[in-house]
Amino acid sequence: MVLEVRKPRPLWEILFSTHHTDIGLLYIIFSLTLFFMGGVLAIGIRTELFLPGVQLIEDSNTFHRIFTVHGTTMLFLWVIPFGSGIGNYLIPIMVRYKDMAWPKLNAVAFWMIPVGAALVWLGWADTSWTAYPPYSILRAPGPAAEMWIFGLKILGISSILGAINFVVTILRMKHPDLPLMKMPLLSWSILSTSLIILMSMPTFAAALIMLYTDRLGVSGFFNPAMGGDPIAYQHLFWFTFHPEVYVFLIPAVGMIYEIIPKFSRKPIFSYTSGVTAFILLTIVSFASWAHHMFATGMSFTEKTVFMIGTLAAVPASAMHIFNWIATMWGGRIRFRAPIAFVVGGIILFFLAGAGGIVNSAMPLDFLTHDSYWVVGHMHLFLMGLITHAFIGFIYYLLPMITGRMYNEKAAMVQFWLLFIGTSLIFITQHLLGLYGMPRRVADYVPVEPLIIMNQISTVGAYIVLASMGIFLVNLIRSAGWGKPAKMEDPFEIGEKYYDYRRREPHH
Amino acid sequence: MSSDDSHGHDKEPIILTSPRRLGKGMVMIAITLAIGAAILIPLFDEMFEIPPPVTQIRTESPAAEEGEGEQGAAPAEEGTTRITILAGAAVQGSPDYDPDPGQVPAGNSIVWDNQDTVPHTATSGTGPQDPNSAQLFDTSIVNGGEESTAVQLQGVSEGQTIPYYCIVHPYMTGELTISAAGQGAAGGGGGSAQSGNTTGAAGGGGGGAAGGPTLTILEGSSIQGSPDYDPDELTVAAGADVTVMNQDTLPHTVTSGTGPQDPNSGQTFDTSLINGGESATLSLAQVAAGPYDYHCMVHPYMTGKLTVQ
Repeated sequence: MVLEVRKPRPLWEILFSTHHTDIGLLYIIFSLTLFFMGGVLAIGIRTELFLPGVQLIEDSNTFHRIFTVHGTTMLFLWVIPFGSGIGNYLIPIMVRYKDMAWPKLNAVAFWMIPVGAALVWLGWADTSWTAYPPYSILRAPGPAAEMWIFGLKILGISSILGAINFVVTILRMKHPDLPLMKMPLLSWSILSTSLIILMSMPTFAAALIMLYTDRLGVSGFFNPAMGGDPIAYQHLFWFTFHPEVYVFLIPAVGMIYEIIPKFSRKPIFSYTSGVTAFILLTIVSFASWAHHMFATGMSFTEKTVFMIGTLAAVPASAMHIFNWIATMWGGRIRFRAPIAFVVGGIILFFLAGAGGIVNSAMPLDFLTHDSYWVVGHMHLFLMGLITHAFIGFIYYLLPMITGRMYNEKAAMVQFWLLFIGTSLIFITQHLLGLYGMPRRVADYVPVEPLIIMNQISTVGAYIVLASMGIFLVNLIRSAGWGKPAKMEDPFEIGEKYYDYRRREPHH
Repeated sequence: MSSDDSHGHDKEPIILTSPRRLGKGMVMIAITLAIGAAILIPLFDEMFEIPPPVTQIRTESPAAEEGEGEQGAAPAEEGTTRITILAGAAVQGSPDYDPDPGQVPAGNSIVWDNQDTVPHTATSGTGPQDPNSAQLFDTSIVNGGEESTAVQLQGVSEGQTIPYYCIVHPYMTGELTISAAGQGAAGGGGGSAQSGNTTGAAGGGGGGAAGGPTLTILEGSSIQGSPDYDPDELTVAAGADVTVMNQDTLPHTVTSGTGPQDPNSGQTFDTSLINGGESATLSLAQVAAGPYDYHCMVHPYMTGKLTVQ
């Protein structure tokens, strides 16, 4: 399946390969598979909520198990592995080295992910992806919850190994003739992401161990009956997972920086501001974790500090958006599928960001906390910007991976369906939250506004389902039967395309 | 130089993905997923069965420790089973009743010792939604640090398991298991023992009793989630007058219907506003027999049920 130079190799050779393109391919195929599986669960959730009462899922326990696996899958088995996959494909090419710094470590990091995924998917815990104690230690039934804890543990170690490999590849294996400030911005984004993972992940790794020993009853870190503090877990959790939000976001930003200048046929408006914004986001990502916990009874000072810390991320994100718009401005934009997805993503990112400012304002957070507003906000961000950018980038990378072109018309139809569907689902969910619908419920009060808004949201989900159907068919058809791509410039935009045989600078 | 190089690259054929190889890859994914599904589907419920080990540890060890301490005191109250409401039980997810399930020798009376700082109850039934809630026994509110009155179970047989819960914190649940009559226990004859069930649904059923049936609106009812109407499910004879006593400090109503959205809200009966500390009489002379939901217009989350016989 991978682009091969001399002759096709048997598939098992790709499976057990340590070469970065092979591992990148495995990452991408794995994450796409899990993306579709997690999507099926999302459709189940939306179908259940189409009407109040019981539709599809008979007991709320099963509902909890479904949204837990959906959340865990989409975050840890779709967004993160996909980012690593693209990094694996492109980073060695961009820093002009023959492979990743440690190819075997790279393979290990990938193969831990299916193990973690198997634990999560065979257990079906009901803790929700946050696994807050005391429920997760005192009530959540095993072995599902134990499997979830170990699955996440393995996924965390895998991210750390991958991140170490990226940092070393970028900083130490970079071609000596290539200065850091001439690297493509995608390399900068992967570097920032990896640094965030290295700094944040160990905290959650520790929290998971504490959670597990608490479940066993040998410790009581988070167990109020043994003098522990459940809020401490939330601090440890969000110390990892607020920065992790930027781990989800920054690779997508890097991909957008690859697509926009090429399709606008104009150099990036300001390379330096892009790098600055990446570094700022890396730092600021650690200054806002407790904005997830405004409702836990923190002091006014703490809340104010974290509110300001959260708002500090706004200028950095705005620098990126400004940079993209300024790059497109006056460019001769060729609207092929990749840039269409990216532009749609930027629009939805703007909306998600505006909603985020409302959340982060501490007094307003009390209104939106644990309501569907939050669900809408974080999905608009994950589906809107990140998934849009990722899908655009898959189309952009398809000629490199398969040597074939995708079907442009189908991709554009998919884009419009995805854009409209995403807006319908998640903008409506903001309103649902303001109307008082709590999150994580299988049923709701049968009043007209709630029913109508839930139905709009579910119809949006079906539109996204249709777009994903088109996506899957387009991927399979194009990978197997698509028109052979002109590898110099498959999109006919007069820009150089990636060539993975070309590693020397000044070529 | 560079043009030569790229020329050289062009000559190398690019091997395209063939449908055959793509198919092979997809078959590999499908087989993996099928194996996963074959493992998961039969085990789906079993993966969700074992309670966390911490709960098992905590139900056993404190029982053993306290057993030593209280064994000396126990003979003084022969025929009484003591169940502790642990400190911190009000926090959802914490251990609550101890021991749970409690072994009650047939004929024994039961005393709940509230060691927590907030009030609790031990009320038979699985939860506030249980239609048979409080039918068998109800300690009513036991304040923090106090003990309940002795509860004598009637009409229970050996081996039976009786669920109970706390009205104030419905997530606190426990079970009683009736075992063989204890040695030297008072025997099963104690028919005169008070069940503590003074506000049980059956209590209002008589209708003809002096003073007629009474419905109390408890203090603190206006706070969502607090106990509100007492008894929550009242059964009265047709044509009776129900005295509604508002013990709260805020105004409440007793209005028929499931809530303000109910189109028939207030059609069958309605006390209209009863100020805090005042009483009102609800006349059921015009009301046909049958079950009726009622609620408080001011606080729609306060709901109850009235059955007219």
